[in-house]
Amino acid sequence: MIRFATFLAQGTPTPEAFAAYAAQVGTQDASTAQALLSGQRPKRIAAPQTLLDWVAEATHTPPFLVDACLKVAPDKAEVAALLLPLPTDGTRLTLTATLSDLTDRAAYLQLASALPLPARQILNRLASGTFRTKLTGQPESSQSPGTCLAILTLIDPSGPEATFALPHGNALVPLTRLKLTLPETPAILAWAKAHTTDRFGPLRQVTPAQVFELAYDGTTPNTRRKSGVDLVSPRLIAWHPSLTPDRATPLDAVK
Amino acid sequence: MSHAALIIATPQGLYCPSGDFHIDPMGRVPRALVTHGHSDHAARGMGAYLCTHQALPVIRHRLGRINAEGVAYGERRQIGEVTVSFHPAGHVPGSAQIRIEHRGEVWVNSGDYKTAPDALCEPFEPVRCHTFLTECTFGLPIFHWQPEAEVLAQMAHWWQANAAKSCASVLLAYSFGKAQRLMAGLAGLGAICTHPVVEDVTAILRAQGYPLPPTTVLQGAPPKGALVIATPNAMATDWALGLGPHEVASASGWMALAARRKGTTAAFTLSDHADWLGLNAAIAATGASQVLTMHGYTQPFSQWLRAKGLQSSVIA
Repeated sequence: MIRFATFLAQGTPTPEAFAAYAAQVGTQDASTAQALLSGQRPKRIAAPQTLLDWVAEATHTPPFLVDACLKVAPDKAEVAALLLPLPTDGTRLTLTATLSDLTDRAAYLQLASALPLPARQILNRLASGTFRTKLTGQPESSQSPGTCLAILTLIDPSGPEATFALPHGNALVPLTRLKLTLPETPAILAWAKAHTTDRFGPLRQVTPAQVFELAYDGTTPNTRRKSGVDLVSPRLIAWHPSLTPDRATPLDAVK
Repeated sequence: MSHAALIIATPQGLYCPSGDFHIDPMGRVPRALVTHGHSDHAARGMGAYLCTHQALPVIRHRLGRINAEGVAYGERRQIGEVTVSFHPAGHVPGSAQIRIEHRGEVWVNSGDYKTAPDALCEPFEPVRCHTFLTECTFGLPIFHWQPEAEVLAQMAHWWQANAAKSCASVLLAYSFGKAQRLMAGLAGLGAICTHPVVEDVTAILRAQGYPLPPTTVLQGAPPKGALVIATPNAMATDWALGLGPHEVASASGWMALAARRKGTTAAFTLSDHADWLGLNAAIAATGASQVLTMHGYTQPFSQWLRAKGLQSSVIA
């Protein structure tokens, strides 16, 4: 269970990260995790409010304190996880065993009390039917890997991270935000420092002049994005200082 | 027989009428007793300052030319009609609780405090009193701290994993207290670099004799795999552009909350304040029958203390 939480704590689970996790935990937990991450949820044993009621009662927390906590952390499952004292020594239960034990109030309280916080928060999502994490690249997405030439538009020095955009008509539309991992990162940041056109807190808007090659494993439609699309496992391949922005890939070609 | 209040709230801050002095005032007053050097406790503009010898150098560094005097922990001073003394609060180096005694009646102002020990600051000492003024920055039962050793081990692991991919590790922390606690706790594991603001305070504490590892002030790129300790503000400045490939993590008690972790890539819950159980244990250890709450979740915490049978109200 703790390994599953550690795996999820690494961020959006990629197939590579899942393979590494599966190799650690053996076939039974790997197949349980695979099922969870493909959208098969375990039977919900209680709503978040009920989990919170159970924990508040078990820890003798009066209602006015629960209300004060919810003002600070509005998520009921989170408050339920935080109210229980930390375990003095960790559980060794597997993900599969945890799920099969998770049946009622007594079982939940025993399991939750023995887990450290990150794993307890996952347990609460599984118990309350609010676990929604999925492996990237699985739900209706295009599985065709591709590359594109995108334009650097924003830099966040504290990553350092950069936002890349693609031309759409006369506009530049943000496509994805990636950590700057290229060996030329110091030179890219030095260029950005000299070409900052505006600042929004730590974010620096830079002259849209530098072209980068990105690769991805597929695309997923997402109406909440200006571009209308999420890239699956996007990564930064190369900086092409010799290319001009008119060489960038049009957004429609990626969708 | 009931005694008159030894500490009352005034617009300038907490005030002791029988001693005619303020504690950690923010408004200009003639005489200030200061618990520690954080800017919400030590402000400019007071006629005279009194704090521990250990707290004085950082306070002078931050406030410039001030009329200030240091006292030893436990040393008793007569001020007006009261006897005052400073006692370790375990919050940051030099931090103190202030004990005030007047004709057998004892009040203690906790300042900011942490009950669990760390590698750097004078450990918290419970002081018996009739009335205890307690901070309650983390005065809700959702705040439970892991032992420091476990958090430091997680940090060391994060640092080593970053170093293995030739990335620097940038830890964001308050420049006085937390920053030095981190370097003391992670000493000996590799090169530690600092932002200039952190280095200034570190140099002062090192000169005072606090056990701090060697650090290098960073201008430009850090050595491969180094740990860099910086303030959150530093990451929005040009200084951050010179860091090269790096990972960033925050270290604060607030990282216990998902909402505060949002947008951070790594976060460690490490606080210089007492957690819920620490606050309750500290209050019990004073033996106080009246507890006045300040700084933090003052209303619900005071209500909780009343429910436990203590006299309690919010003072500031």
